[in-house]
Amino acid sequence: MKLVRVIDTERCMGCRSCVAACAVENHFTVGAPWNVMIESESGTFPNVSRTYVTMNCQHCEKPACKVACDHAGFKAITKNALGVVLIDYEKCTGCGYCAAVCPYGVPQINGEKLAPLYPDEKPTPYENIPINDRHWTHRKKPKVAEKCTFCWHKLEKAVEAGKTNRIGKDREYTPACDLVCPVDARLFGDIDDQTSPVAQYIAKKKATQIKKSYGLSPQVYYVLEGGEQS
Amino acid sequence: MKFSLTRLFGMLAAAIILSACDGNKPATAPVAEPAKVVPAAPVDPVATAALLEGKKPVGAGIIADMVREGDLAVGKDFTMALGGRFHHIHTKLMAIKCATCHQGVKFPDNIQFLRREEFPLAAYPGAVDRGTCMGCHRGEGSLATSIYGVSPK
Amino acid sequence: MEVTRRSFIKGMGSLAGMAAVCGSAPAFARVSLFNGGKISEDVIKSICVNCVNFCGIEVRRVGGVIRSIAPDGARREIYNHGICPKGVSGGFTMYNPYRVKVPLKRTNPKKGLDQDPRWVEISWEEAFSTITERLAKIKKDNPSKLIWQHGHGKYLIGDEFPKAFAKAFGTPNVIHRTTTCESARHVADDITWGYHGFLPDLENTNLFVVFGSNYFEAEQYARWMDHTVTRAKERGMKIIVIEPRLSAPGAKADQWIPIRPGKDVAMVMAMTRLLIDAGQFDEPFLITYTNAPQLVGADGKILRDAEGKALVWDTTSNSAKPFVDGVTPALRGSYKVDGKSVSTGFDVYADSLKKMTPEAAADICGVPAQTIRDLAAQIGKEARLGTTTRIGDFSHRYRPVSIHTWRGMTAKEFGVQTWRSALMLQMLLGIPDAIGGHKLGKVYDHPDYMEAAKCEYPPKRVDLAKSVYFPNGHHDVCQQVALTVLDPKAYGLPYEPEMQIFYATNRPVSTSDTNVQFKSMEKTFNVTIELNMSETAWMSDIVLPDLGYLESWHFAPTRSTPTTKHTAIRQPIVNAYNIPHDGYSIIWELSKRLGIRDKYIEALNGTWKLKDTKFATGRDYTAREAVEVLWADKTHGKPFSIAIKEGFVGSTIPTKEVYTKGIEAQFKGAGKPKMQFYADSMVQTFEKLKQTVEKNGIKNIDVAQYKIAYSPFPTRDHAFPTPHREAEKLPFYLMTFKRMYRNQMACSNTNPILNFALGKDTQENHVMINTSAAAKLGIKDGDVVVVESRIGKVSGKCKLTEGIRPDTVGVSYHYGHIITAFPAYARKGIAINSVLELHPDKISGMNSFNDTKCKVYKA
Repeated sequence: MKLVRVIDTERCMGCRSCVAACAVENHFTVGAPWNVMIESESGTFPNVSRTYVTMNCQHCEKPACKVACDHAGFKAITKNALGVVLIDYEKCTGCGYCAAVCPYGVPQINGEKLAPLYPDEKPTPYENIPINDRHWTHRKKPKVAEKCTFCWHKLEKAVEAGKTNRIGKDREYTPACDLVCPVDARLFGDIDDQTSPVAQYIAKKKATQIKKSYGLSPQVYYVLEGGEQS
Repeated sequence: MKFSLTRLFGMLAAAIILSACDGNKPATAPVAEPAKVVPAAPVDPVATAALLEGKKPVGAGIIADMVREGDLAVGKDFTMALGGRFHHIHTKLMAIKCATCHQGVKFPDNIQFLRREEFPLAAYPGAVDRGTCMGCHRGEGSLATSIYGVSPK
Repeated sequence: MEVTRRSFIKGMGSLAGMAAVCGSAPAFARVSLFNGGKISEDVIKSICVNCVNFCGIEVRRVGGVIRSIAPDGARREIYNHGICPKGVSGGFTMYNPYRVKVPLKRTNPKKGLDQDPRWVEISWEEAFSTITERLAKIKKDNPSKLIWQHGHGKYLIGDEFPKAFAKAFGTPNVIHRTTTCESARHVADDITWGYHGFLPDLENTNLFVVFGSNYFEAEQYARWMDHTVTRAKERGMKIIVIEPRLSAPGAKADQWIPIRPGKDVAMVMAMTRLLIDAGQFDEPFLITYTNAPQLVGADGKILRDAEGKALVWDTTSNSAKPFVDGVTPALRGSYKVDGKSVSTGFDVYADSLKKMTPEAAADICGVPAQTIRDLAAQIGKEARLGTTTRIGDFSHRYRPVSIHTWRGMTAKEFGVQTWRSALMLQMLLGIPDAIGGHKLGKVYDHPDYMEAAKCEYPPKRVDLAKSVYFPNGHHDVCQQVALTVLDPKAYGLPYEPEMQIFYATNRPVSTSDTNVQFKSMEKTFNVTIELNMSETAWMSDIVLPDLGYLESWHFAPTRSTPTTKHTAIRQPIVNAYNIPHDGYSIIWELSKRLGIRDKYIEALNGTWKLKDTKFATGRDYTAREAVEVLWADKTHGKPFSIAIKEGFVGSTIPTKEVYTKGIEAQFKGAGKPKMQFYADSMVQTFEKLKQTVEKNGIKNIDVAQYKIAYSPFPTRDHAFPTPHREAEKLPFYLMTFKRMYRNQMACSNTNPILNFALGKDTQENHVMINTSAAAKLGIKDGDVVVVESRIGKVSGKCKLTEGIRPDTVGVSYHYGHIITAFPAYARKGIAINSVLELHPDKISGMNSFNDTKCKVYKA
């Protein structure tokens, strides 16, 4: 089983719903988004085009962040049996090596303090959900690295329930960003399952990975429209 | 650790390079010309590697080995801050100038880099295209710790 | 679904903290593991009311806290596939610490945006008795002196409740926001085919021509159109987007044609001329369904017989006759009837287009003549004139071209005429209600819309709707209220308004020339029912809190598509600040205290058009009970348990019904009424208006301008709104637009996800200016610039882009709060509305938003 995501930038119209969904699902740390939108323009009036591309963690098969973290001796980054690359906030020292080596600019290093969502206001009930009632990936800490987890807190439930074959198909076992897209530009699932929608989409639409020259074999595929700089 | 002439020469070279590049202090002795890595923008990682291939500083591979084996005191201050191990290795030992890595104030608008919006940052030299890193850090048997791979066929 | 977790005692303190923030334990109390129990988790279906798409949502609630919001997958087939970032982060609208939480009373008698109201908190009892006292006095004196205004409130509880209350109270003044939205589009439809609302038949369209509709970020049907357009594009549909600024739809289209603001009508007229000259028009359609063959005299009116029936030229008998069985109308030609020269309506329009060559249009609208030619040819070809196609075993007229707009053609002084030009182009090609074409709403539901308007004087309503001032103001004229309140005598209003109730609307902020709107609020006693301390609340005497859309019951509005419809409810999920009232219960309470409750209930049965299940007098209804009544009636008795569990019931419309209930049923053939190709009713309305003005000696109506406005077909004049004609030394066209991240700006401006999680550019707006235009002015990206129109100036940061015409600048709505009720980060950006000139569309009363001219310079 190899979990992958495909993002179709031909379909994407830049609404940023996936960006919002990730933030809400994953107890957004202000200043440390796990999913961003890269909107850019090219051409000269009136022959202008605009491109919309979103990025989360690419969950590489050979993650550079893990190499750097292991090399530094902290071993805070793991790639588990389902291929999900995760940062353990307890082991992380916030050294920033993962952020330095990632060609996709994914890991976010938190600052000295975690700010409440409404600046200068008390935390909302959402923020007051007790730390220990949260999945460990949502127990945010200052001065450590954090990044997209492929919503591991949801995928883990599929493992526990013995339903990994329903990942990407059942909403409770699908990452939040892949659930909200109004134009169906995102799919998630097992590329090794030849009948899975994601495997067929990648082939049919000739999806590719970005920054392939780094040789990290990312598990996020893109249908590229053009105008992006890799 | 067995004492050897090669090692001594390496240490000497290292010491000379170190003193030459340390905080822009004027050189006290003639030095081997440090590698000039100034790739054209945008960075082509393959071309960068080729440049480095031809113009590595003498002993850079040795220095890298020595760092990995703990023979060079680079400390355990794992941080991206200027005084830390990362910059010590790259700017002092490897003699890479700031502008080599920090090429632009900010990234181009359409670059696929998640933290693109963080730039420009005040009091920070500027955005780094990771392609520069690939020159030394890529593939099996690479000069520096192998972090990246070769693009799959 | 309950989840068992290991947990530690550590979290206990925060339970108390949560209780403190919420005021008391949430309704569905959270039982966590350290109580030896489990954390409750459930998924509740409801409707999002951030905008007017009314997307189906499912809300995940964990321990009584809104944890996440996702689209309701069960509604994919009938409306939305996804939801937008506002919907995703809607929980924060409930948890917003800046909400109004208790009733407030103003103690500073001076009103103004720069005035501190000096609020004191009052009890609900004091609030109700103060308001009731005033209302009782007004009711006794002249109930018309009460004005009820709403905007988003219509979608929170339904305008049926305020309308019924107003009926029971005795005031005609219930005003909705339509003229700040798309009223001109509706009125153009109303006049042409007797009702309004349409959708492109996207599943079958091959060429989608869009004159300004942001169906990815802002349109009324965005969450259906977005995925449907995307699928159709992959099927091969071509999309041409015609607008001054490259919007998201423009970015995904096959072609972007940057047209000068306000000039669309010239381009459409030129294309119509090209098609007529090339003989590419659907003659059978025009004869069968429209009044194009009807004979027009020198006075511009359609010839009628003694019984008032319109006459056509019958080629069988070579005489003028009404179109009944046995008559074969001529579409073209000039004839003599009773010695007078007449021409068909079609020819009158065709002749009027002679001067609108592609070159002439290019000069006006800034689109190259060749582009206009190419598009006309493309439309003519793709329209597949004369063909039919089959869906299943249903065979029907096939015209797979759809011309669409939302506010691009209509949020302007000549909005009605501009959209009429596109309607006429579609009639020319037989596109209405064709497969792949332009699917109309409830055709001919209001036959009176197609007749001469009343031109009432003196006006009864404070917004002058349907009066001589806005004879076809079918959908209220919301921005006019403020102007009438400032000087009722000037409009002949026979009373002086005293009190305004604003429900979920930031009216003055959403109009043009907004300073006047605010000035007007100083004159009346204002009550605002609102979630947040909006500018409207700031100018009020009493502010009452409201419940958010995830906190209250409602029989929800829904959006149909050409092939589906559904009925839905909203149900409460949290009550973040334990607020005991919402708009619904406030109206109920007031009706009781005024002694008009049963009258109100009877009026409700009327406004809701209830048939099977009605409200009974003599009793009260909680919000839930009211929703149960409405659900029972509208679903013909389906169990309410379905509403709670599923949130909706939906159905597919059979194919035949989709295409045959509209013009096929109402306008087809001999003896039937006809679509107004030639808008004779407008000529008649103008005649009436002229008489009314003369009879009453009305001084503030420019009859000559109304004549231009009330032309029976679009003319060159309609490409030149007042600022274009009058403004001097103001080289830029100023256009406005909407952005995905803000809507109902007083609700969204503090939302932390919309402000901090989506990217730096969502926190504020900019003056969008073309790169080369900026260079000529020495302006660099990020410079603070001033935008100055004839009526004022604003300043803010600019953003250089290639995606806008060099002669145009664009500033979005939704930003630039001034009042200090909001923190600094929520007040960033430019409030452009204050510099937009107000020259309403005289036909519909539509507020003009995109006609202003300005100059731009470095601050």
